[in-house]
Amino acid sequence: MFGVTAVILLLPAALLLVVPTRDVSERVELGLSQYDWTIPLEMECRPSTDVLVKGWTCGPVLMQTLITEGGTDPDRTLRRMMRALVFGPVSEDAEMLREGDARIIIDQTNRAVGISLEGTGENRGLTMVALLSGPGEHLAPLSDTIWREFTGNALSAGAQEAIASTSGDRDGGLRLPIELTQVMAE
Amino acid sequence: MSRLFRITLILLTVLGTPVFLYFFIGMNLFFSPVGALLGIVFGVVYVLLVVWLFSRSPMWPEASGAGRKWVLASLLWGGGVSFTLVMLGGMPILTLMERLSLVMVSASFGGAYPEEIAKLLGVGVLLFTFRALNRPWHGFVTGALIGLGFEVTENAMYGGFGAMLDPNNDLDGTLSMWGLRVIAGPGLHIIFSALAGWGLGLAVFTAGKSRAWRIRQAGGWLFVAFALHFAWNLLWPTERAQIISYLVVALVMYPLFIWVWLRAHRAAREDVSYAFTPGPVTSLEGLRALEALPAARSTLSTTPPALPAPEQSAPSATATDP
Repeated sequence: MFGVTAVILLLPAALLLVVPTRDVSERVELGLSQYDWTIPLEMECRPSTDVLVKGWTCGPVLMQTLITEGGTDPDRTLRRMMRALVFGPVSEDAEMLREGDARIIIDQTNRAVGISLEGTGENRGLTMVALLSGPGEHLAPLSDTIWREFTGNALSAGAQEAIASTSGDRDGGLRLPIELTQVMAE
Repeated sequence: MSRLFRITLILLTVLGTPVFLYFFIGMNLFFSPVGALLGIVFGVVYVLLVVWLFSRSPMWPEASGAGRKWVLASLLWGGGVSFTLVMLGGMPILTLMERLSLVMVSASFGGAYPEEIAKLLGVGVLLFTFRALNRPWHGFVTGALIGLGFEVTENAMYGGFGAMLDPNNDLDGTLSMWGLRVIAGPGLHIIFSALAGWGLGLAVFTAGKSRAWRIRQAGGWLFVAFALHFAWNLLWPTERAQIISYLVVALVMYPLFIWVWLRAHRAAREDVSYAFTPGPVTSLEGLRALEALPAARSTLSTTPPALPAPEQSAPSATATDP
């Protein structure tokens, strides 16, 4: 009984030795399947298999996106969503920039950038969130791309510099075990 | 009772208990103390309620042979040992899913594959550890208790996660997540493990059947549990498809569980031969001591002292192919 169980449980580990990585990419589209609100980006990345939130691996950067509903304080909403996605409190010192309905937090401690956009019109009450984690020099251009979509303007040079200086060494951000990522599935 | 299984159970429970405490309380304390506190309260209530419900059934084994220790061991296997095994066996599956970019089935394989195997292993270990467990329905209730331990731990963990996902405060998020887990899809792990445990109970405790038949029962019902879990965890690209998927699985799973429950319940009620001994009876003194046990007393007063080894007992359950 124990032998059979061990073989079955270890079979996937053995398969890792022979299964190659499939080359797959798709267009990045911020949003969540429960809502009609989506913001497509002009880039293609590898879709992430994490279950909690939709995401993509863009080179060494993990990009995650979600929509949350009913937030009453946009600053707090972004901080709380970042806490959920990086699995840790966002540093109190983390700088937050605001432009119209958009916000961005550069969190050096977690080596992550969180960007949010408050919905208007038919999307009022919703908040679109994107989280990027990975090496700073790769985070900056992606953050700028999203910021342009959210505000219509480029991210300031100072902000890009601050992002680039984050010493991200997570290579694709956090990978959560299935037990931590099944919320939406079970 | 097998010493090997008893020692295995004790060792794995010792290893699994810190894992249980970490997932049930520790992790949430770090991320969300509110989520942790509510998780403990809701978890205890949930466990008490489900254990009470099952204990009303004639399927519940004799307390002097499988009482609190059996309940606690089952819960800890589900909430601790299973999680340990899942963490060990599940990560390679997730890596495989990532390599193959199989988004839709990532939670299905990542969840159903290691979890159902880990929980069923626990059913087997417990059935061979407690002598009072010697009927097919004991596999059913043991599976249910192991599933309960797993489910409560998972709910507590997700409650803390829900706390963080609320845009305003931890309290609302925790309550929403517990509500979602308990109302939209209640008892999932209890059901999966009870069905798999029923198959193992049939395979081990039904007399006069071939080896092939036993393998079919254990493997077949494990497959049923796996398939239901797999289907429930499928990640459909649209919300509409996701809801339809949940409804279809629920329409198969809940009636099937009720059907098996009723069969097991009926078989347990009609069974008049249930007996066990704490150890081998080799003398008249031993037989007299046995008569002091409530379950043995009622049985021995009407039937000859049939004291078979667990594997050889002949239950009145009607075996059912999955």
